[in-house]
Amino acid sequence: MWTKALSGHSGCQVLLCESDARLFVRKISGSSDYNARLQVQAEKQARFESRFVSVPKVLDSGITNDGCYYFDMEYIRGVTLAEYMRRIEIGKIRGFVSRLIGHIVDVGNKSGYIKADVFSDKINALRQSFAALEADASVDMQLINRALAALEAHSWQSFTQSSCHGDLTLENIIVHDSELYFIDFLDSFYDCWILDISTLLQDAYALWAYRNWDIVDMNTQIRLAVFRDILMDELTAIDAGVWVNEVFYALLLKLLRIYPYTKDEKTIRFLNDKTALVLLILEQGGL
Amino acid sequence: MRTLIVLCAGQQMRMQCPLYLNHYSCNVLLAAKVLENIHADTYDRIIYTVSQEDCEKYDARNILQDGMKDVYPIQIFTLAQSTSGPAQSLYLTIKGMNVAGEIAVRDCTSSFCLAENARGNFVAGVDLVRLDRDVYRVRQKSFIVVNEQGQILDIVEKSFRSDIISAGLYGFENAEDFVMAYERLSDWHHPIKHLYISNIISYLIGYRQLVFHFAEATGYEDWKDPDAWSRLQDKQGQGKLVMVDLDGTLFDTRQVNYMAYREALERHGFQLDYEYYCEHCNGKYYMDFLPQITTQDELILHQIHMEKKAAYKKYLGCAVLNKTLIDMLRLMGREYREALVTTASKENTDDILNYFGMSNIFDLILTREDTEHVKPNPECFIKAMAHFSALPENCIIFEDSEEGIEAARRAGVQCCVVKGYR
Ligand SMILES: Nc1ncnc2c1ncn2[C@@H]1O[C@H](COP(=O)(O)OP(=O)(O)OP(=O)(O)O)[C@@H](O)[C@H]1O
Ligand SMILES: [Mg+2]
Repeated sequence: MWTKALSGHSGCQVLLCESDARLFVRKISGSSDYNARLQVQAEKQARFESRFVSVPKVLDSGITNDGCYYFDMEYIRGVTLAEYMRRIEIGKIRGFVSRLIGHIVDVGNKSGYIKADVFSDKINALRQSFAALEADASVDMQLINRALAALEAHSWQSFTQSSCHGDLTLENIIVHDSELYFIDFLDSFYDCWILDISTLLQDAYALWAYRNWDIVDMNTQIRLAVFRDILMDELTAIDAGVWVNEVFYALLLKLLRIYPYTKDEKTIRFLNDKTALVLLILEQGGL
Repeated sequence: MRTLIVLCAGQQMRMQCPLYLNHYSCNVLLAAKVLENIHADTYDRIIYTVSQEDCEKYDARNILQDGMKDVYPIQIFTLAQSTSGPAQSLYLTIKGMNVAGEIAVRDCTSSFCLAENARGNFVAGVDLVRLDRDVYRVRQKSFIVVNEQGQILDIVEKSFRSDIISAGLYGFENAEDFVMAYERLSDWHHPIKHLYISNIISYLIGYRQLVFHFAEATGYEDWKDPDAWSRLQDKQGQGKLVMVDLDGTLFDTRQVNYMAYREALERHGFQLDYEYYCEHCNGKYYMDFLPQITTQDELILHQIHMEKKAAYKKYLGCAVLNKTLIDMLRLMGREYREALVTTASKENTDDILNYFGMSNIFDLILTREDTEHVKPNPECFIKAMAHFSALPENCIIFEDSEEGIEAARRAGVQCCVVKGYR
């Protein structure tokens, strides 16, 4: 079987494979410890249904000789939305955003409850992990403490349980033939549609998906600005704008949760900047 | 109310002054030429935006006012500081001059013809497929995607996306649309720096879904293009030529040459005195003075000369530019073709012109390598005149050395003698 490694950050191996003149993608757990999570991912993907977007079909799954879980899925011959944003015809962005929001809200409606202490436990745990980071001079602890305080003071009541992607960055959406395909589903510590919107904002506002690019050229920046502003308008239009603040709280929590996994100083500085920006937006009472 | 705003800020230099202050023909400023064939008479108000620096250094305000006197009544808006890009210049103009309603924005680096009088939201563009020549630095242009109905689907900077490039004229039905988009894109949350007008239009198409129409421009001529520039110059200065010597005339290079020779000579065990150099050697060809003070060995002489040429670059900081002559050349450029005619080597000539950022101010450069004989032989001057089919009585030479003056006399050309200018 012919294979080619695709880029992957999560420690999983992602292979493009050819067998019997058919291409497919095999995603293999980095170690057996990760098996359960990758299996949840495969199940989430297999169960996925939407009127607005698609997923690669899950074809097969199993365990490798090393005891690692893997699953095979359809190969989508396209480019990630992060890359596509460089060249997308500017007038087509609106349609993409509408579809994304349409999907997120559609599944967000089937709501249940998230236990209140899920958030407080997570924020507490975050405090602990930042205590270990205090020695790292590049981490702006004053900022972090302000952010943690804001998260603690927030009531997370309106975060209702609903199905969501879990890591909806522009890198995990593939564009092919004007269709959007979700990949790389994640089991986050909470499932809520707000999380997905905050992840999109993380790219649109904080250019997270582009953090490793040498330069984000002007055409891409303008496209992301259009993406961001349409997204904000659509978000503001839902229930007279009551969700806008919640989304920024979710984004703040997301940004803080990246710190403990971050090793390089460049990314830390990037996180400091973006955390400060989101905090300022929240402190000023929205946009 | 329709306002036309001509952005003259942040432009290229030509002939030691901003491009737009140069003349197209004897009396027409390039800044005036940009209004031709674009239906400028249909605007109620015309504003030129220039930088404060251009006003102070080059007298831009007065030159524009004077040059536009018989063309259109214009207003001038000065930018106190340099801006981050054309969009900011336009924004400041709109705010500073209280512009409202329909606007069009013109840059000041090209000429073209618009068949229809474009109104409302539009972008003037050039179809490269139909253009009969290549476009200069095409990668630097913005590219426009147009549908069959002539609506603009997209406009991108410096990225090949279509066969149509922006010509440098943009219309907005409402100045407010521009202002809103500019303010959003330069907002503190996520400021985008160095915005072009095309970026703003792109945003308005994508976010506001505004319709911009394509207006086809023909006969596009980009003055940043050296070829177009010389074609433009061909229209003027027919048969008139000014020839300028380099060492001692355009630049005082005694110090540079002396230091370079001294370094080369010392390596071969010879001394050179500054006073002696100035009196007996400066401005001369090396074979005419080195043998007297060093050796007859041609191989060594040649070696010394090569080493001197290499050392020359190091001492360029000691050269002094003849600013008065530069000013004269700039004015004469409206009527005369201009040639640099020197006994210096091509290498050193290029070095010093590049060092002073003057490599494109001459229409012709003749160096030591281009002629068989050196001054006082008039060969170099005769060659330059032949190049432009100029008669001696229609020429002027600027010289400083006895050899140069003698060469001018033998060529039958009037000579202006430069006698120091520090
Ligand atoms: N089914 C597919 N079809 C086409 N390309 C795919 C497919 N699955 C993955 N890819 C490509 O491989 C890349 C990595 O895959 P994926 O996002 O699943 O793993 P990952 O990046 O390691 O996970 P994480 O984003 O959690 O770090 C994707 O960005 C995409 O370019
Ligand atoms: Mg991924």
